[in-house]
Amino acid sequence: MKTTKKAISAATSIVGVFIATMIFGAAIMLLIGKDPLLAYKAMFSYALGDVSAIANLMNRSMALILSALCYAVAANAGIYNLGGKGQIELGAIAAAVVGYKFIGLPIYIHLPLCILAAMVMGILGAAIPGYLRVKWKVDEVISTIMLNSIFFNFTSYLANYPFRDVTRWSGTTPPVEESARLPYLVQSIDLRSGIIVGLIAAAVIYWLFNYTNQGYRWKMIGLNPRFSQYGGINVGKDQMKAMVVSGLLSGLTGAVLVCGSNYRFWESIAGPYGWDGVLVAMLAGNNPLAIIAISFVFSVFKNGALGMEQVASVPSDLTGVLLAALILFITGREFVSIIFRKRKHIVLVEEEVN
Amino acid sequence: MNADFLLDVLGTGLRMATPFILAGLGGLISLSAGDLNISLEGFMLIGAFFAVLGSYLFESFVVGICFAVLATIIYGLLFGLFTIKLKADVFVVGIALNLLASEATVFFSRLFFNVRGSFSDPRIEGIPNIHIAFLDKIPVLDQLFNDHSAFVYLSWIMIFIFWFLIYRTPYGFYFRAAGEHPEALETTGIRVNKIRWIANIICSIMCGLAGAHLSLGYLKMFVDDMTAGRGFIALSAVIFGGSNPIIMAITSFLFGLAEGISLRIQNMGIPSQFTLMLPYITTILALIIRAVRKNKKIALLATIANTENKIESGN
Repeated sequence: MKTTKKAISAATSIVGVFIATMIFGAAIMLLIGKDPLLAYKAMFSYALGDVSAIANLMNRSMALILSALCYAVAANAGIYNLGGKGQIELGAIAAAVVGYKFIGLPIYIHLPLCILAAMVMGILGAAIPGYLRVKWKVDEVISTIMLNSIFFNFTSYLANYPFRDVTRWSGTTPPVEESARLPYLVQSIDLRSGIIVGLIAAAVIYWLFNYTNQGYRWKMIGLNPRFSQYGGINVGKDQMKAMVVSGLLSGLTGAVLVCGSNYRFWESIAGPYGWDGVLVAMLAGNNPLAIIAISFVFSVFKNGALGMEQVASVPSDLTGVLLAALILFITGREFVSIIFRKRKHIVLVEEEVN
Repeated sequence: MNADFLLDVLGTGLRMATPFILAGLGGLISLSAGDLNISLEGFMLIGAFFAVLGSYLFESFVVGICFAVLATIIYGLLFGLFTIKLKADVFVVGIALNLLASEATVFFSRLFFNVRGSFSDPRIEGIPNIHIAFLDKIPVLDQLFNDHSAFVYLSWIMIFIFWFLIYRTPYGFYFRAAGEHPEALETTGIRVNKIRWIANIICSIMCGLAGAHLSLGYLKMFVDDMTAGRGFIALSAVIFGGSNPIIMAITSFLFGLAEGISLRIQNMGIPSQFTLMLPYITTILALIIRAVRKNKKIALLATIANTENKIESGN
């Protein structure tokens, strides 16, 4: 009863925030003399109008879901992994190199090999800041941001020099073999099963969070690390585990980006997903189910932007501005709830007593 | 490798360090007042865009600089509103403001200039270079220190102004106290939040100047996301230098040099990615060294306390 109530209030606040964002966007459009109704109609029809649009939407959502999960798992345990972008790139290049170097393997060996390689690299990328944090208390927020740039340069070097596709103008690897690509979901629109991977990952993390000891320990650490330590939880070890799972997910994101839609690595392949994933997870309050919903809405905004530009001549970059403003609205929302919590708290206590 | 090449790289390094120094000085004040502002990058980008806008509209670099500073101050007020007034998480707001700056400047350049990618125009007036006449006759120094953009010299002067501000004025003391012992400062009757607001505005102004230097210093154009991670490098220099402007500036010079070397060797066809990584690797190493030292200190204090306890219980 209580959880459904909580879920409903979370859902309404998310919907409310999105509506506020759309109204804000409409105001800007009116200000620059464009028709918001026409623009929003174009946005939805462009993002959801036909099957290939849906395929695009799925491709964007799957990467967003996975990348948001990678932030959420760590943040839930009180350790902030902002290095998703770099770790995804590490995973992606591993998948791409394994995907094109090995020729003639059957798909049931080749594809898992790609994903495994990507996960190993992702875990390596996340374990470094995790270890520094747990061992020496090096602030992981800074170290992960710095590692983003390091991994970007490292993968850019790999894609430009040792593993470069010489037939292409700039830093990409050659396309991966057919045996390293995810199976088709719908072949006619080139939709592969990446979205299923995303949904399964979200379900697994949901289960981990809510139905296991490990998830409970993470939650406790996230709420109060000192108390958890006092209660006998090995905070460092559990946070390290969270970072490993987070890195595994970023590696998986990279593998899905390469094997599920792009078929090759290029510089900054994780560009749109690293930080957007962080935003989605923040909006979702690190709840895996909310992450799925918000990823879809986010992707509608992003994919529909071009439609807005073509039909209503609203610059497509406006959606980026709106989504960035969204997170500010959210911090504002939390502030508003802090004000009202005082009164609400009393009501809740009374309810519990009854 | 001849001397000319070396001097050229050093000179480029000096130039490249300027945005790091300017933004870094701002970040340093902000950090000593207790807020690690990770959105230096976004602030600089806003500054760079509005500098070009002002200079384009009025054909004057002075107006450009004013536009840049005003815009970043407004952006800084937004940062202050969320972090100081609404008490939101500094990192969350920082991330959001970085993204917002990147998206908003692209949107604005579509709106005002109707271009995407980059905008340049003969109407844009750049910040002039300064020629120091007496250096002409001294060969090495002339090559190194002459004919830089005015902001390069400004940044060097600023280092000492900030050093003076932090170590020789009461305000410097307040800034550091607000960061280290806010409660202690509050008991002396000085409002911590007021100090944080002042630090925040100084930080915004410095980032505005850094941004103006990026877009009007040598290039005279605005390019989407032209800060290209420089804000994070400035942040690295700040973390490295702590609250000391001189150490911060030396670090910035080294980072500028790394960038200068990257530029040169890239032209020669050597991979520049590894030199480009240097600032970030140095920062992580600095963080580790500092953390290890701190942990040792804590361990030492613990053993001292232990032995004292033992002595006491022995009695």
